[in-house]
Amino acid sequence: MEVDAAKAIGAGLAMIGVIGPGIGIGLLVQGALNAIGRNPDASGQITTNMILGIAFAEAVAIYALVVSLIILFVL
Amino acid sequence: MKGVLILLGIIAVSVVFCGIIPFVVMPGAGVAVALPVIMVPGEVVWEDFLGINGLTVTNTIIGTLVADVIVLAFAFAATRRMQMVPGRLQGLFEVLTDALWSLAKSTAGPNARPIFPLMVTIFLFLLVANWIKLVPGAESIGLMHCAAEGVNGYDRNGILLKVDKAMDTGIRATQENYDACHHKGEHADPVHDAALSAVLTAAAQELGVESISLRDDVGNARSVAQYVAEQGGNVEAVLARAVALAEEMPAEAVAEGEAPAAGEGEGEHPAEAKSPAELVPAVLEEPYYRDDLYAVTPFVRGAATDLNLTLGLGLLAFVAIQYFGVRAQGLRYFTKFFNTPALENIGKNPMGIMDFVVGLLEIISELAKILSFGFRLFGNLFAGGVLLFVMSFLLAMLVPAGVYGLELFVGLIQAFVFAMLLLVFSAMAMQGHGHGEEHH
Repeated sequence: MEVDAAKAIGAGLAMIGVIGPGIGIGLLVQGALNAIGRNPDASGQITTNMILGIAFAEAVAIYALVVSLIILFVL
Repeated sequence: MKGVLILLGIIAVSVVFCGIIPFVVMPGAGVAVALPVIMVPGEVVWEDFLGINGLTVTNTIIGTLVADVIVLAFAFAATRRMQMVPGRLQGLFEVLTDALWSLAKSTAGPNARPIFPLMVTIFLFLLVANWIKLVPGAESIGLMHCAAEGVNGYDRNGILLKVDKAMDTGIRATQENYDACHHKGEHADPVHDAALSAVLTAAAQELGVESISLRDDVGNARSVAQYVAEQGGNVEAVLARAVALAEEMPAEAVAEGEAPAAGEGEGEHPAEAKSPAELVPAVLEEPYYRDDLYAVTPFVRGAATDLNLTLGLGLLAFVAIQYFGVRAQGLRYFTKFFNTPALENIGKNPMGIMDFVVGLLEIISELAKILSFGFRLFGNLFAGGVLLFVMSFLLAMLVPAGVYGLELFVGLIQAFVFAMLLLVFSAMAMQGHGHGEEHH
């Protein structure tokens, strides 16, 4: 049972890693919205690039998620 | 006044769908939501498919094949008879390809043409594959089988899992549970078991363990003892009472229980025939494991919830990027990784060695693309599935609908992101990196 408890704690701790990507995605969207506000005509391209940027930032969060999934289900 | 009525209506609907139905009606009918089996690898639906040894079919493979078939069928139907004035399906596909084409054009410029077919294929496949798992029935209808070790199992009720409490997490099965369930009905001594369980049931009912009569599939005596313990009854008292009852029981009653076996030869086992009174104490000595823990393996699971598919696609994207790079630039493409031109005039520019080392680091970041492609898709889709599972488990109605909407969006975005990243990376590989451009 102690191993299970340690697994749960470890998985929870691993998910602390999503703080960074959360801030990053917020900044990205902020920048994109500012840009769209200044230049609404370019909104299509800005949105596309924003989504790509979010994908990169989110990848880091996904790594944390994968680590916690591995701790929970594989280890 | 009207506003108040609408508000009351909304509250009433919420109470009914979030409170009464999932917490009263569904548990009462034994069809509350079971905790789904959350497993990272695809769950095996058929082992040794079609009798071929080692050919296991997992539910993610089925999901992949279904997605393939749907994409192919739609593409075939849309392009079979192309007309100048498009019909509905052809029109839909034209709008879709046109939007993607203009996007690819604006991102990759003249390099978009060779990348486009692969990109759209992956996009359409992933879109369908991600949305398949949102179809009601996918990830929920499947084969019922004995719960494996570590999986939460439930009693069964015909073709359904029997869940008669809201938020019932079931019982975590152990290897012993699995074995007991797997070899159910193979007990060595069914006749004595029947006689024993009759005696034990009678004793338990006498001592007020009521719910035992609700169980009509009690096949062996040990499950009665286990049931008594689960219901909070005093097992030893029940057993003692059962011994007393068995002793009172006329010999013919015991013999009646043995009647089915009589045909096989009465004279053979006279020494083995024990009375229930002798057998009852033995019940406690034999370990009992619940043999009625079942779990469901769904037939179809979202294709991208399996790492095999997403890492495979990541590998495919990686190879495609290298291919497009070499196709556009020839062997000069590899100077991105082994920056020999920077080393050539190292006498004039000693910092060239830095450029070379940076080029070597590019190899790592290029290889990391496989992982990043694979894990991004897998993580998003798998986490989305778990989110849906858990939301439906906690609140069966209304709230999961909102999560469904979110998952619809996530499925689209992830398919789009995969395709766009493939496009952008390929376009970058085809253009060559900054240094090459400066000299032109």
